[in-house]
Amino acid sequence: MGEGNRKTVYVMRLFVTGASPNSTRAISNLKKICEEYLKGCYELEIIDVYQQPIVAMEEQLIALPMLIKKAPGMEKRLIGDMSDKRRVLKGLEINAVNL
Amino acid sequence: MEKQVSYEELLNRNEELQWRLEEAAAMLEAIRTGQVDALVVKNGDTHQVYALKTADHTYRVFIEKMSEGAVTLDENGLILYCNSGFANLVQFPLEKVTGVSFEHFIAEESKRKYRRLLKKAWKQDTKDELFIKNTTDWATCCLCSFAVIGMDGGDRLSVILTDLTEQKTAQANLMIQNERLETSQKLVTQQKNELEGIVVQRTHDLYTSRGNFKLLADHIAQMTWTSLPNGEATFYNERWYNYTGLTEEQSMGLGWRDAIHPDDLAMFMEKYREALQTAETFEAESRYRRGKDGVYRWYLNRAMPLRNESGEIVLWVGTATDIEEQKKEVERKDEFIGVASHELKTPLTSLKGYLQLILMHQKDELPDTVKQYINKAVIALAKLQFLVDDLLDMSKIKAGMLNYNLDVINLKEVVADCVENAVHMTPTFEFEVENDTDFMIKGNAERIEQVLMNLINNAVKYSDGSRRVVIRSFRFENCARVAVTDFGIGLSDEQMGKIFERFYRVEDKKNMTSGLGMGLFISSTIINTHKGKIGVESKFGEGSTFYFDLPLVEG
Repeated sequence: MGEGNRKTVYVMRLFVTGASPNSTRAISNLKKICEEYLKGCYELEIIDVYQQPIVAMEEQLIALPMLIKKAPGMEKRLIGDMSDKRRVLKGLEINAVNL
Repeated sequence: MEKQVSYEELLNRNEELQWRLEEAAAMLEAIRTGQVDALVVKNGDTHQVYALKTADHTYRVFIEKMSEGAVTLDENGLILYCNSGFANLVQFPLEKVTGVSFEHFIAEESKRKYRRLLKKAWKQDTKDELFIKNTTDWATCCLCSFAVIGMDGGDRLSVILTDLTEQKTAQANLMIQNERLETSQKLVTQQKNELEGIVVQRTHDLYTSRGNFKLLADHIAQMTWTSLPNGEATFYNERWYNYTGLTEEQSMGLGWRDAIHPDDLAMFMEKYREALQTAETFEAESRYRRGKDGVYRWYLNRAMPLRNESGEIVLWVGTATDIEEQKKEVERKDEFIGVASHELKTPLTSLKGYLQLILMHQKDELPDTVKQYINKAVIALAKLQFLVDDLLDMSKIKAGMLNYNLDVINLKEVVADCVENAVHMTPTFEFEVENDTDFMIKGNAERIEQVLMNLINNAVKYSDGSRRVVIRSFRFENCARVAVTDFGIGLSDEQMGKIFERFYRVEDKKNMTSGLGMGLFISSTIINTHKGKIGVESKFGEGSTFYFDLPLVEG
């Protein structure tokens, strides 16, 4: 993990559909990535659109599961089960040089 | 891509891209606006259909609405899904629960158990109780049921959490109740044992006291019995059986009535029934037949109610005392009084006649002293006459032969006559009279006069130095009342209760008073036969008011 990432706090919201296979996979995968690369400097909210439709309506959702990176930098969206680690890191703009 | 691309070609490509972009945008729009039910995804050679509209909506509602917590875990124990029930249990917002390790919500004391359980749960369905903590570290006991859900891309573990707090509370309450029950059972047993001890002791006491009672009952001179509150006899002493000759079987219940003289039975039963109802001491005279010779002897019956702690009558205890001899004595005495008063009456009448003849003697002038003596003799004779008349009345009352005619008379006149008479006989007394109203009553003027004179004489006799007597007649309810008030020695409460009895005389050691104690008895008999009422109000040492009420004649 690079020195510069220490103080950057990643704020993310993962929107899922209950305990469906893609959703649960997305949670497991994302959590693994976060623990590996962003341990201690990320805020992850996982929102079930069935349970909290109002929160879900605030965002422009296209397909689920969908990850929205709120900070740092520009808001970015990622769709899928987060199994492609490289794509996720790229989407989150995490410097994966050290990988 | 080759570098030499014609403008036209670029234009075409651009157009195609534009078109594809529009297509993608339209498709996305269709998905977003809910016009698509499902997406078909190419997965290797096969296509997989993903439903967009929720097919498992029903189950989701079930799970969301149930009070139990429902959680899905991944292989690392991370929470992938939880329902509102669980979020409520741990008091975290939903978005702060998902993605967090389940262990995070397990109370310290259950953590080891949880890890063991988790290992086991991946192999087979299992359940156990765990303490789940909330934001305030409050631990709630939950039954956690683990079950593996097979899914592509890895198995998941489902956990259903049932809050056992209520059940535990109920269980604890049940235990407390159980303990209480046991305690009270112990207490009951203890009390039972104590009670048994008491019963044994009491039975022994009772046996002793019964023995004592029977010994006593069998050896007293009276016949004794006990009966139930309804009058049925339950016990007789030996004397009863010896005298009446009845067997126990014959005497019990109401069988004892056979021993009573048929003429006395009605009166006896009436008084007995009255006593049973009013719970007052029963007293009656009756004759009982002696078994061996059929002779009837007079007995005085008395019975008292025996009450238990709460005041209810348990039984009546009665005695019957032989009063045959006393009865005979009284009869002999009455007979003697009757004969004696008759025998006295004749010489008394001639004595009175001769005294009148002497007074009327004109031939020789009598010396004043002689005249004085004769006057004194006349007064003494009048007193003697009163006494003899009283005695005669007594024997008549006793024989039920005190008869006289009743006429409508004016009570005012009777009172006036008596007052005049009293003034004449006791000139030293001051009589205050209030007698202004005419009261028509039905009665015998002579007898009423006799009563009133008796009251006036008593007032004079017990005046104790006071020289004042008040005589008043007035209306009292629907009666005329005549009241005689003196300011003499007065009566105690005990004396007042007995004053109208036969031969009762107020004991007065200072003033030896004369009389046989028959006056008030005769007076009360006379007033009773007039359907009137005689009475007294008195304060010891301050004087008395004797009065009688006689019913007014209507109209």
